[in-house]
Amino acid sequence: MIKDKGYYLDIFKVDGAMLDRLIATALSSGGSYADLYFEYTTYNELSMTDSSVNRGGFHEDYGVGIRVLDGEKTGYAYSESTVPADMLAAAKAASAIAGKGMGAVAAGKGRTINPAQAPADCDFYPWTESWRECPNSNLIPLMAETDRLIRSREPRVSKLNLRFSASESDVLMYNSAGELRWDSRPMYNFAVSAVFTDGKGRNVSGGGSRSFRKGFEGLPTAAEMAALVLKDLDMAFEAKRPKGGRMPVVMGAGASGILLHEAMGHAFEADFIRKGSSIFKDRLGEMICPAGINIVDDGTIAGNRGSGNYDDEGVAGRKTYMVRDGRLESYLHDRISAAHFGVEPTGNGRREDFRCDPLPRMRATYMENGNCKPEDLVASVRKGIYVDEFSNGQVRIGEGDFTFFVKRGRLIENGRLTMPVKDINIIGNGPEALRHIEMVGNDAAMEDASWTCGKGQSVPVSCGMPSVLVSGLTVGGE
Amino acid sequence: MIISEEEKDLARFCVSEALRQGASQARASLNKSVSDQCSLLDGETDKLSHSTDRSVYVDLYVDGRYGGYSTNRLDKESLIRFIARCMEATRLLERDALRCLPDAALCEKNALKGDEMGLYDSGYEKVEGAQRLALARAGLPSESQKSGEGWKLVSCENNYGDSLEELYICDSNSSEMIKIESGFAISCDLTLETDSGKLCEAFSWDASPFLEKLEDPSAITAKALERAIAKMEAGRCRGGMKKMVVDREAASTLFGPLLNALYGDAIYNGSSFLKDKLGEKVFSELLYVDDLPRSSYGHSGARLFDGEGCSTADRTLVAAGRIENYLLNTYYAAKLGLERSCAGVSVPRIRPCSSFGDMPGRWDCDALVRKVRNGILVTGFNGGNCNATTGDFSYGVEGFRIRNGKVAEPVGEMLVTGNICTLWQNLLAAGNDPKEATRWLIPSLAFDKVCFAG
Repeated sequence: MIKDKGYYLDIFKVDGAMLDRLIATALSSGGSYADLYFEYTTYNELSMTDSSVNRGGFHEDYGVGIRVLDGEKTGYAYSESTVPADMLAAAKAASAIAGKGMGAVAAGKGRTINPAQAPADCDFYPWTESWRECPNSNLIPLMAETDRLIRSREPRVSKLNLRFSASESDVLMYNSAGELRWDSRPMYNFAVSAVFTDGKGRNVSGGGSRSFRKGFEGLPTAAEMAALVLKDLDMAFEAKRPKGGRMPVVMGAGASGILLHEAMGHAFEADFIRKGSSIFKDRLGEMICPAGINIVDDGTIAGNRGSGNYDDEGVAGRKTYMVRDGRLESYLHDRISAAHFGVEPTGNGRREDFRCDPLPRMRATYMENGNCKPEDLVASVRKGIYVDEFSNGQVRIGEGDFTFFVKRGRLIENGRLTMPVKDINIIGNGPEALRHIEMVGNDAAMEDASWTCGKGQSVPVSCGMPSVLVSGLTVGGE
Repeated sequence: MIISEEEKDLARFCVSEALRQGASQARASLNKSVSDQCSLLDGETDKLSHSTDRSVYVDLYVDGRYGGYSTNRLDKESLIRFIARCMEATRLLERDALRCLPDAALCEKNALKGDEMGLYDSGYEKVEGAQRLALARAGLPSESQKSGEGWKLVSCENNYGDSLEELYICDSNSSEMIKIESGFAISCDLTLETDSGKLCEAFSWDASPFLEKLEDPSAITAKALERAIAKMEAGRCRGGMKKMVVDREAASTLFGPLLNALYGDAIYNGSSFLKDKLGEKVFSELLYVDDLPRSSYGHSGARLFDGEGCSTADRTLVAAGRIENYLLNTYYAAKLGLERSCAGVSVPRIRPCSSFGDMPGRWDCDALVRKVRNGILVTGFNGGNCNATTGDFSYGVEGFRIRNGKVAEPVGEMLVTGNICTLWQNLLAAGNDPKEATRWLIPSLAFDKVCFAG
């Protein structure tokens, strides 16, 4: 639902002359580049507890972020109003990076910023029904039906909480290269959390979420949400901690993409490469995992949580092969790192909101299909673990040590799935884990839950993967 | 003070406008902050940022219904439209008879100036750009810190930041209160590369409401470097049940789940392993946990009033392992049929304790290592989680072996797994060395019978 230019200029109460004046003020002390990021975001939320939608919220956020680059140095300031005097004051504050304002600032390296590609004729979230114009009452039937279905199908529900949130962001971007970009971005997140109690007094927590860059017309059904929450519930009651140690791990299709996000994605973000602090620095062109493996970071999947018509620097959304046929092909760049390495930006310059300067960030990160049957991966393992439901992960960029937390999985014994397991952390080393990928399934799937990546700022992402066998990771256990 | 009388009037206007449009009760919380950050990368200025934030959060109670709303568009015309939209949204919700403002008698009456708890550094106003840069530069590594035997520094980020935050609350019961807090922080984030090409990263930081209490920036850098060097030879060690000492800077990871389990919403929603445990002994009798909003004058987190505007009070949460108090705001106290305690923890503290028969004056991480004799010293956690319903946890850890009461070789790529209740039942000791910079006063800790996998 991208509108015409006038809509965005009206919202932010600016015109071309003011945009140019702000850029001129931002560069008044010097600097090689400046950009403006205007944002107006509204956010609706509804909560259902005890089968009653009895809490709601509405939030709005409005402002402009102004960035000045002097070589690779960044000056940043923002204003929560678009009154000219406030914006000009922010532009002046951002200009301090260019030397005069701070006295002892070292000279920049004098690189100019690569111009971004021409804007693509793209719309990766062609939504029609605006969240801003959608009364919360339209959502209550979906929440009520989801609640009813779960309770009717599962007598062990002891607590059920549903939360629906939806946001709509209008953004306008302008830079010193004269590029003007605008976009309207929808997002919804429907999350259910539950506690189940059986006749023996045992408690199990569960839940699920779905999140897309879609409008009101793109909601999941209550039946889909109920199935997500109730999946494998019997197994969850029987799940135990496995014996810990080093063992083969079969990562189930879909959410296992967290392996890519943590084991390599962060270390491919080119700000870490530029600073020399990533374990994958200086490895462009090298084989980093077995031949045949392709790993992608993609901003172009229709309706995906990580997609963007433009990134937050105004660079057109695109698909980037990080690894092709096992070889490291590209890092993930914003404009600063792209200029540093003399390549084009990859559309990964993202920010939480106008208060933050953009950084290289992932979008939707996934591995393309291999050629093994998923059941063959499990059959090949004598003693190991199968995992397919996760909650969070983390990585040490320098060492490459990553972890992810497994909510549920199964033991693998003599090639068969056996005892359910739960609540275990798995730890490995990124380059080592990639080298030790032994089999890749032909069942690639995206995980459309509400994944949010934190790197000082929070941004929505998603991940995906076919089933994959990694020959050795350390599994927490009794 | 950064909130003007005009801005207070805008908050009051939100309340009066909500009442005018039909709300039965309303509360407005106006937040305003100013912050500056200065970052150096390898000695050169990398980023300077300046920000000023101002927003209002409005709680509306309308015909027995409740909603929470916020905006940063604070001109009167926008606020009128905003309140109208919020009123309409609230009226769509179902009734919840227990939603209401707290009793006016519970609200704080003496937070009139904002700095009653001594958290405002009057020198904040005098800090300027050149001084910020100088403070960041004071942490730059010396020439001798840029390389050593078998390693060289490949990346070093030195950061300095300061902020001033003010909060003004007013409600339809005529309660009004304000608080202000200044903040100063320095940090160093560095990466070294060994001759064999291994990268080791480490981070160290300090923060205080007062500039003069900040640790020497060069000491912060030295600490980060020491941590990175320690990782050079880290490897897995044999798993099994071992004693564990946790350095004070990492200990909050194990304390957080315990504290979260005391909150009323977690208790009510069944996502707390401490549900139905009030008054029961759950942890080691060595464990005492207090919350000290009043007696922590000058310490970050000290406050006269909580998020609902109610007067705070020092209270014991856990005594001799027994759960003494849940953290109950007005709503969840009513839901659970219990007495209100507070809307959120302020300055939680674990009291020093020992099962070793004595407790020397300097009861810190080194002392705990000497007492424990053999086990693992954990200096950092790498990922992991705790199941809030059951308390089952699993975390990645890094640190050192403890051999014969001394810190020995570094370990990494290891995991600890267990249950939070069992872990705290096996508490051996808590030090008297909490990091002053943190709001949570959590000291170094020692535990028995911890399951490691490597």
